[in-house]
Amino acid sequence: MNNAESVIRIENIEKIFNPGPNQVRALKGVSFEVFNGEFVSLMGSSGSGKSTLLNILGCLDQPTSGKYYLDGRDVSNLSTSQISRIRNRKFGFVFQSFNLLPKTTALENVELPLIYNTDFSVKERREKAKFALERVGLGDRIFHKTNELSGGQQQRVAIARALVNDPLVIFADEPTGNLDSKTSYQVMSFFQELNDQGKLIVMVTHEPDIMEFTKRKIILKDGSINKDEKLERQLRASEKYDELVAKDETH
Amino acid sequence: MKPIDLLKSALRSINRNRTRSLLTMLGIIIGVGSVIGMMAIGKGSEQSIKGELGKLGTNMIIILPGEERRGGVRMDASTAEILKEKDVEAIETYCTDVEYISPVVTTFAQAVNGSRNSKTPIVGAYSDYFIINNYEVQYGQLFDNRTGKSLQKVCVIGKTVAEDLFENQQDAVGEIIRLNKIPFRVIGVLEEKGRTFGMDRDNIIIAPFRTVQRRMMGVSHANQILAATEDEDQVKRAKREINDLFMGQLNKTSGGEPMFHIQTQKEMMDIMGTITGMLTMLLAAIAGISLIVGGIGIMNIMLVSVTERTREIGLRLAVGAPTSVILLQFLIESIVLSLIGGGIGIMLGYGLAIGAASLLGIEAIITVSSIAMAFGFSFFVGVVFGFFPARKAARLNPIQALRHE
Repeated sequence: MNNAESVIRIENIEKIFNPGPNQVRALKGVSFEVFNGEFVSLMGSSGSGKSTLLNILGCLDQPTSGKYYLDGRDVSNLSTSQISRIRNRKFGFVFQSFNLLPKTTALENVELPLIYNTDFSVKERREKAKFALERVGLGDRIFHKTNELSGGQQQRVAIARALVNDPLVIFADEPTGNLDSKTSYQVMSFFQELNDQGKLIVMVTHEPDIMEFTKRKIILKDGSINKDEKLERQLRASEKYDELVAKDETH
Repeated sequence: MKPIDLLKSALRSINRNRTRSLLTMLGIIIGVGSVIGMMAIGKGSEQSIKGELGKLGTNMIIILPGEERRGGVRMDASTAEILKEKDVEAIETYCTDVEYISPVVTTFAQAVNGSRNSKTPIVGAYSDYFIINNYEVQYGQLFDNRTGKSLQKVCVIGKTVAEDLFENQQDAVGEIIRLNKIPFRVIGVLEEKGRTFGMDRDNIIIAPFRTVQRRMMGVSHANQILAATEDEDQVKRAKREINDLFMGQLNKTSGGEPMFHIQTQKEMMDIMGTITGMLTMLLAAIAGISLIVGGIGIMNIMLVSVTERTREIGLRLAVGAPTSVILLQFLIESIVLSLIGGGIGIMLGYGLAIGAASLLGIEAIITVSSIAMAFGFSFFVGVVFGFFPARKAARLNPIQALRHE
């Protein structure tokens, strides 16, 4: 395989919590490569190490040992400020619990990552945030406070926030975990649309039906990779959404 | 993060919890308010005391009999009678910086005009006495230098005396009044001087030195010698000249110790200034303690705020906020909080000072430096007491912070 092409390459990643007699080996030597345009779901039961792995991939946590190459660059041993910069420029994050700033407008929430990038003027910031909100279909709600939005809308604001810096990778940690089926399909259809446009997405989920919208599944078990396979047939979340809407209407 | 973003974020967060912010600021408000108030009143009273002393003439030098009061007061007769009229001549001859000089005797007498009478202090002095004390004449005239050194029975009376003894003040000029049964002709009525340190400066009769000394008191010494220089900056030199003359040529010593004491009005003012300055500093220091208490209040609330906003901090870190910017964000929040408190405190202190000053009958003096100091202190308090919570925020682990409930 050609190393230059992989966006993410991890080699023998280990993570040990509480070193000592009561140590927990959350990851026991995990290796894989992820390429541009992929849509990966990390799966596994709770305690399998999938969230720990996502945190390491997202540079929110550092591995105990092993190598992590991002875009061909070793990021295993960077300083805190360099890591902040990578998170700010290269990554977008979507969380299960949305993590929006309370009592703040959708626009200001989406602007947040750009605030920490001094390359952008206030005006550029605003325009980029507006554009990202339009992409997730919230162009008409940019001045709504986050607490005035529904759960699905809040998660779309969070997706817009993850998009606004035009990241290399979007990391999503159970993005549909707090949403009902219909809204989950809607959110997944946004992810699929972004992936169609070539965006690399790595998502943690424990719901098999959500996994079916992605292109590749990596299943972790007790800190090691149990299965890593491409999905032959990809379901379209927008179709599932339409089905549900149609069902609602017949009732 | 641009500075404007930091400031906006601080103001928004302060605005979000308005009641809490205000309560937090209260410590700073009271602290700064009392410092400003104390300083304003202190400065005002200092000014007022200096003003009173200034009315007495800042160029004045007073020579008193007696020792420097070391080891208690010891004033035997020989010491009390140490000052003589010829000493005045010696000062006039040898002390070139002394411009005006007069020996002074003081006694009390019953002043009588027909059925009216008044118990009044009588001063015997040369005509320079008027200049040294800034006495001006309202009606009639003052006595001249020659008369001042004579035994003539003339006098100049203060306004209070004129009111006590005469129906109309202007009628006093040319009239004869009796001082301890000795007839004196009134030649002038002095302009009103008002009160200094509560003493009525218009209740006075001034007559030629020898007239009072010999005819009324029957003594051969002077109670004190008053002198004055032309300029304020000559006072120090003049004092030294007099001292040298008295210690040397006139030999007014006893066992090597001086038997006289020289005071200058400037020294008095300096002493008063030092005392009021020290009092002001003391009061301000006590008020400053409340600033520290206010700072602790700010620290407390900032810690609460950091805990409350743990998830927000986690998110900011996750989207790539450098830890230094998180630190700065919370630091600026506490500084802004503290400075707003300081601003309100200055206004409060100003109001208090004006109120208190009008009760005390002095003027409240707010200096630019005290305002700058108040802002400086608020800033300092904000930095010092905001640093610990801000550092706590900056050191949060993003993963744990995001999971915080």
